[in-house]
Amino acid sequence: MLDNQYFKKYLSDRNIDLKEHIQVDRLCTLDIDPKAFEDFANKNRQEATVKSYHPRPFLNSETNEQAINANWIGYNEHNTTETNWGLDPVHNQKLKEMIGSHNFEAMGIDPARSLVRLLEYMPGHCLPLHSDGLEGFKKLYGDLRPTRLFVAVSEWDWGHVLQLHDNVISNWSLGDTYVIPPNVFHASANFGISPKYTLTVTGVQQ
Amino acid sequence: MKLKHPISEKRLDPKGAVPKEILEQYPWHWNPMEQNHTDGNHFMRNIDFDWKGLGDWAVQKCNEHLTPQKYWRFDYDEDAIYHAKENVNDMPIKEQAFLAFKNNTHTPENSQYFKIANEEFEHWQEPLMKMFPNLKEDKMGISLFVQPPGHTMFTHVDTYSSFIRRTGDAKADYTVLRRYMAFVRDWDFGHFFHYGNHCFSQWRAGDCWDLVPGIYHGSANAGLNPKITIHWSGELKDVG
Repeated sequence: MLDNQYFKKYLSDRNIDLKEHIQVDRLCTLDIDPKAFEDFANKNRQEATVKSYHPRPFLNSETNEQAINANWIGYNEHNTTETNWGLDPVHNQKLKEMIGSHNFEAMGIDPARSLVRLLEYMPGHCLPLHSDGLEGFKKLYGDLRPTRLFVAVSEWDWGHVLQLHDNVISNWSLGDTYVIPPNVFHASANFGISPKYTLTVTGVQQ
Repeated sequence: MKLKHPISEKRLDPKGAVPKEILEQYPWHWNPMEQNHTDGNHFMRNIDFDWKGLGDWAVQKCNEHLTPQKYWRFDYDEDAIYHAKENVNDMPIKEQAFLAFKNNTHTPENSQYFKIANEEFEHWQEPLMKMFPNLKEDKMGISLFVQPPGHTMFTHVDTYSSFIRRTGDAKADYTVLRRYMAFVRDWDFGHFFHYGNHCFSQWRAGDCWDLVPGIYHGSANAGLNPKITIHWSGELKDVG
């Protein structure tokens, strides 16, 4: 039915085993205004990056191999489309201001060396199992070993989920923040009826 | 991909799309932020069965034709929701499906699944039918769903459309209907299922849940292996 031998081998070669537990705890809960982020998305929709999950020449070979493996088993623009803001330096700066210095302190992230991206996943779309290449951050700041955080910028709704290895993250409250450990495989999906808004904050720890 | 419609500025409330009789007969909290709930209390038991054999057989059956039989499609010209090739505007799922597909982004390309039902189970049918002696045999339906990676089942309340279609009943009597669900394979990467405010993980093949009517649920597969579930639907013997 689906030729997932390449994806399986990729995980096997890296000893990725779902039966091994990886502890993931909530880092903190930020004090943020959800409407500000939704308004930002709607106001700046014309400048958003709209992409689906596929290989691209500016991504590293690991990331692209994962994308090739995912495309091979049926992931495409119909089920992986993401709208995001933050790669534009103006948007990155604005999103940092919306988060605020007190929240960067809570996260332990240096705002001057961070990349914030606001992600919008519409119903029926997902981000397939992958590990992060952090290419966007590295392009801006070089190889600084950043921390990647997931931040919920709206209260949880049915069908909104994130899996971090063997942890399903759901039922979140506004501002809940989790560390996505390096090289840990994760996936997310929106099978509800409302858009899913989250942030990824990638930055150097203070 | 440019959206063909604006995103709703107000949160879509699915409760209003659920048939009134289900809301009346099965009151539920209808609040995704509710923490004081019992949505995770409907686990029944782990059923001992050759789940590996059934799962492998089901995948082989799908591989014989490679075409998911089921998907959802909204036809804007007709203002109609289709489940595969069937217009289901006259089915009680209509309003919920409209929320997900009309001016929304669930599509035929992300809602596909394979289905094996009833006599299609061949030699598996008899032992599967015996698993729930509390359901009337003459109206019991068994369906196995294989959800490929990249596909979702939109959040919904069961309205038993397949049961109505199979039995020929004019409408469903939700006071006597019941659905049970078992996972055919162990939990895997990217396999999501929520039942109300309870989000599942770590399930084992054979884990069986009582899908009490009236609770909002859905599923997705963002992993690399198919997600397989089996469902028994029918009328309870000791009710009504």
